[in-house]
Amino acid sequence: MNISAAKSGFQQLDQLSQRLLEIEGTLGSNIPSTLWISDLHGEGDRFKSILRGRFGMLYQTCKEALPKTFSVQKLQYLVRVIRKQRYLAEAGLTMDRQDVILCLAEVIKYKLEGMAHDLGGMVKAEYRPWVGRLLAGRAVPDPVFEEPLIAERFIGELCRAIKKVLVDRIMVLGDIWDRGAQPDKIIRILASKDYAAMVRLVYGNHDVLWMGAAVGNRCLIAEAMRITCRYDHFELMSRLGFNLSRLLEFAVKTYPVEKCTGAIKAKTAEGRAMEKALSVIQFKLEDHLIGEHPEYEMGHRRSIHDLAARLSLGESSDLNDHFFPTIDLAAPASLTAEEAAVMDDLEQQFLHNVQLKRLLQFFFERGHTYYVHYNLLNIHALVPSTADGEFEEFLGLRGKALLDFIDASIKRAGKAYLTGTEPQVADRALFFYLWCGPKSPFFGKEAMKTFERYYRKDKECQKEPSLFWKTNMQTDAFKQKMLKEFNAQRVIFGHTPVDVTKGKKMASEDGVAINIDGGFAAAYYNRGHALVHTPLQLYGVILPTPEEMKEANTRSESVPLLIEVIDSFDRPLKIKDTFRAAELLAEKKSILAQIRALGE
Amino acid sequence: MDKNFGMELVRATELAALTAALHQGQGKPVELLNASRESLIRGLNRINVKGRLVIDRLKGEEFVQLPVEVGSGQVDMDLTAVAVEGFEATAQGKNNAASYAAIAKPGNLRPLPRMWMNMLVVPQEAHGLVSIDQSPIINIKRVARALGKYTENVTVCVLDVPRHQELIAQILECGARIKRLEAGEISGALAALTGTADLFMGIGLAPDAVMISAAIRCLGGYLEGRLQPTSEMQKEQIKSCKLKEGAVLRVENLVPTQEVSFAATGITHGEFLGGVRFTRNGAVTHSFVARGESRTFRRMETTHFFDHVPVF
Repeated sequence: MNISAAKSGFQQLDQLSQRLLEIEGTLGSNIPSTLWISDLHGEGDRFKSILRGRFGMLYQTCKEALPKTFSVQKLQYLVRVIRKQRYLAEAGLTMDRQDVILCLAEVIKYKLEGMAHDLGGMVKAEYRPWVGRLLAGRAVPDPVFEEPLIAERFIGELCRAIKKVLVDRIMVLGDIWDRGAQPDKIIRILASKDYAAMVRLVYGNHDVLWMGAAVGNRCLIAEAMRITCRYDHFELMSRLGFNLSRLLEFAVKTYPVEKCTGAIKAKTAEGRAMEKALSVIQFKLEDHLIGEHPEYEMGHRRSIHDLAARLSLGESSDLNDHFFPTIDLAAPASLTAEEAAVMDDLEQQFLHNVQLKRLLQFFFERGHTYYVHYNLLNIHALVPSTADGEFEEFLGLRGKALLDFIDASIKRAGKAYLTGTEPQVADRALFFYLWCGPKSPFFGKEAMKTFERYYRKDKECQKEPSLFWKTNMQTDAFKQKMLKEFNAQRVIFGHTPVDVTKGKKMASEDGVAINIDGGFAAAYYNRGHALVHTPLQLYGVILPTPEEMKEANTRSESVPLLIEVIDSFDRPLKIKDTFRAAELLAEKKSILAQIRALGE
Repeated sequence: MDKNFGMELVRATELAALTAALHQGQGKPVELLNASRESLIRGLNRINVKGRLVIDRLKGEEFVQLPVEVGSGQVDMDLTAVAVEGFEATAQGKNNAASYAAIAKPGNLRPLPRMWMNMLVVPQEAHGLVSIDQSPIINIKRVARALGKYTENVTVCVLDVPRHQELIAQILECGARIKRLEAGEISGALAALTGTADLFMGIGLAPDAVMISAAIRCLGGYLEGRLQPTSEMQKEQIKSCKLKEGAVLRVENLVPTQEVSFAATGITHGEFLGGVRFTRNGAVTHSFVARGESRTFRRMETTHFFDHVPVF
């Protein structure tokens, strides 16, 4: 063998060795500690506040990392130290600075076990070498432990590092938009440099609504704006740089407040007028889209014809509002010139608003229709299914194939939107179906009864019965079908709030189906759930209401969190225990064969 | 040393311990000590050396004095022995009393004057990391780090006497555990050397530091001490021992050789050794024998049948 051939052989060997060792390291790593949240619905301040408290993960991680002899009080003390990022000398609990440093180092070591890590981003340069030595179990200079001021700086650095390594993944199961006024705040936090790398996102129906509006689906523009007006979120639109003057002028002129007698929710006269104007425009635009897409099979949802028929036939006793000056009874779905102008204006703003684009870029680039995180399938709402427990077919596809198709369609439209090009018509239209279609994986109901809820008195017709997801997920056969289809062990979803105060559980008894929607929004239960998976435990966290948080703050106590343990493990779960191991082991086998071949 | 004298030494400490145990709890400390000392001397005299007892830690007309010369042989050796550490406590039936003896070649057991000495004894893992000039808290924390323990899991052996009030307060301040001993600094130090406790600190009798140093030569560990004279006479004694007042004394100053043997036998149940347990026709003793050269350490449980070879 000549010298250059030998050199090349060694290079190849080194590269193969590097990869082999990486694989071994990964297989031996603890599974990432993951936090799930869902259906945040614009509750930015609460999200920030609870995220700062790490949803109870600090306590659980300290409990897992530190000796079992540590009392609850001691663990809570350490949690307080980490949260406040400074040494606390508290009456009744003596914990030496050195012990605090060693405890914090144990927590970091536990979190980083088997994982390649770089202290660079975690610890100030002045302390980095010594933190490195401490974590490696090597001697650290005495002043770190013995000089109170230095020890306290060190404690601060370790606390900051723990906060950075505490959560490895944040899974957001959609519905950041609507209801609350601060979806932008939530997105900015998730997209910030502190969190972006760890966030995995699946879209929710309310996100799809805004994404569809942004790519130019006029139905959804009207719908998104209607919801915004309904919840009086004009400050949000103002922050995003939207100008609603044309809409406002038209609405106020067309719908005097005394003529807004339907189930309008907006608080101000202007808001009520705009909400009503947009509802009528929305019904008209939906009618066109449904007509253009018979494959959606939504003919029964052409509400504007229903309204026009009732008005023209005098069957108006069931209506709570009779004032619809823009509806031409002969052609009810036609927009008036003014309505069309309003929509043109809104469409241009949605298509070209830079701030909205920046926020939605996060969804289009980082989001998924579904996401399999190790053994766990994450979806916002459901996988469409039939009454007899089969996957429902839509556009000739079902199950995973359907979700893959939808994902590709959303991403195509998103790419066009972000690059300023025209999206495919079918992709743009599909957003509407995803928002409210019965076979949409984001919706789960037979129909969205917006018209009925706004303008009909008959309560019965306003009901939106759920389809078959919930009942199917209570059968072992369907759960097994789901797990097989997506190669997963559990299904985690949100979308439909679970009210724990009424004794409901987040997880099914076998722990396979986990609903983490706890009604975060003030419009629901004002509470919310989180799900946490550490290497040793999978547990749900019942989050506090704002009132409970305020009360705890007043008493300078930790915010109360209720825990629902779903599963716990005798030893820390490793990557090698997950489905991902098969792929890594196959690669390892192949690399080993190559290495051995080099030796022959 | 050409011979392992440890096994011969332990017979002497067993004898002293058995005798002391017969008087346990009788409330007569002087009688107890004197009887035990007489037994110890008998035991030492059976050793085949020409021994010189370098220190007698107690002096007083009421006590049987240990002779300067002991043994029945021709080989010159230095010895130090304690018949009963904690004789007053033993007389009250309290724990932690034991008999000790050490032997080395001449000149290797440094005689120290009878006075107080501030001592610090830590296990081998903390060798050289602690200093008697540092505060107790710093020393405890350093031992904790050396042992890979949290400070609160460190156990410090301290004699529970009024002179240690401030020391105990400091230990409590840093959250370490305290094992308060009513008597027995040698026993406390041995506990620290062998892992029953984590360090021993406090003011004890200076001659005991020599015994502890002999044990350290056999078991590993670290000792620092400083004599604490309380009178001009004691200062003169320091000078006469060719020591510098205020100097820090370490194992190498007190027992400058590795060629040393050490033996101990428990009298009452202690931190390190079980006490004498009397049976129907004899007694069971708990001892250990250690040898510096080989760094070997033997724990022994010995059954004595008094009806076969009576020792009393």
